[in-house]
Amino acid sequence: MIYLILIILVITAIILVLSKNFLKTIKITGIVSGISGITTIVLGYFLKGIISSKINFINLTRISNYFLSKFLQNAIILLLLSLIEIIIYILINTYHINKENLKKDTKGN
Amino acid sequence: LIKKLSSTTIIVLAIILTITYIAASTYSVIINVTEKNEILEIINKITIKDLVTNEDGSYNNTYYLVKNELNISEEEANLIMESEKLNENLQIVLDSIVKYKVQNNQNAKLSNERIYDLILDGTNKTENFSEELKNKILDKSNLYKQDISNFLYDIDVSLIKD
Repeated sequence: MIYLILIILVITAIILVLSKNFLKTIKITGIVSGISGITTIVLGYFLKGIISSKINFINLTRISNYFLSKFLQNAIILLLLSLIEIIIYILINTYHINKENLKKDTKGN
Repeated sequence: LIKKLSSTTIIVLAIILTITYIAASTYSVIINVTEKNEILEIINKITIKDLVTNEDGSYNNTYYLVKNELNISEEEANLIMESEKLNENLQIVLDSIVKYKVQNNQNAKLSNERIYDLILDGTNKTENFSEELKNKILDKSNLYKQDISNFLYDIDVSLIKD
């Protein structure tokens, strides 16, 4: 698990170095975590389907729902992360646009 | 060309990042499931609700049969399904059925009286049952008391082979 987190951090750092733009990096990672969150939900339902078709226990519903809930928990974390990153991107972007407009206005005057 | 190469690298890295995120979330589920043993706990504990629901979570014929027989509302049926004491006593009956049918332990068979006592005990010790509901359960249990043991031990039980 630590290795996977390290890979995520290293890739994010490489994207930041290559793009040379913090805003662009935050936008990319926001989209990536959003897509990952949605894929995790799909994966959870897919796994639920597999468990339901392969296992035939009397308490199958609870078993498959247990797996699904764990996947949904992780998906919510990823989607929240995505939402936070996109909000930060929008806020910083709006701040920069306003700053540039203010500069233009000052120059115009 | 360098700019184009850099954009392509970023796209590739973004795809790898997506895969890593999905792998991390899936792996954390595996760790969670294997470390806590919650799945084994679920498998080993069959509840009343499991007996009256289908694979898709909808209620089966047994649910409607029992509900109509007891003449109870959906809320009362939920109270019965969620009764801790009745679910606890159900484990005793299920253990006995497994021992009798799978392990051929003749002494494990519970008598009609013993099964009725377990229902009585579970019903009386569930605090949120109304007196009316308690009476309905006990009256019907008393009515079918003579057949209950034969009915339970006639259920087909077999081992899941590897």
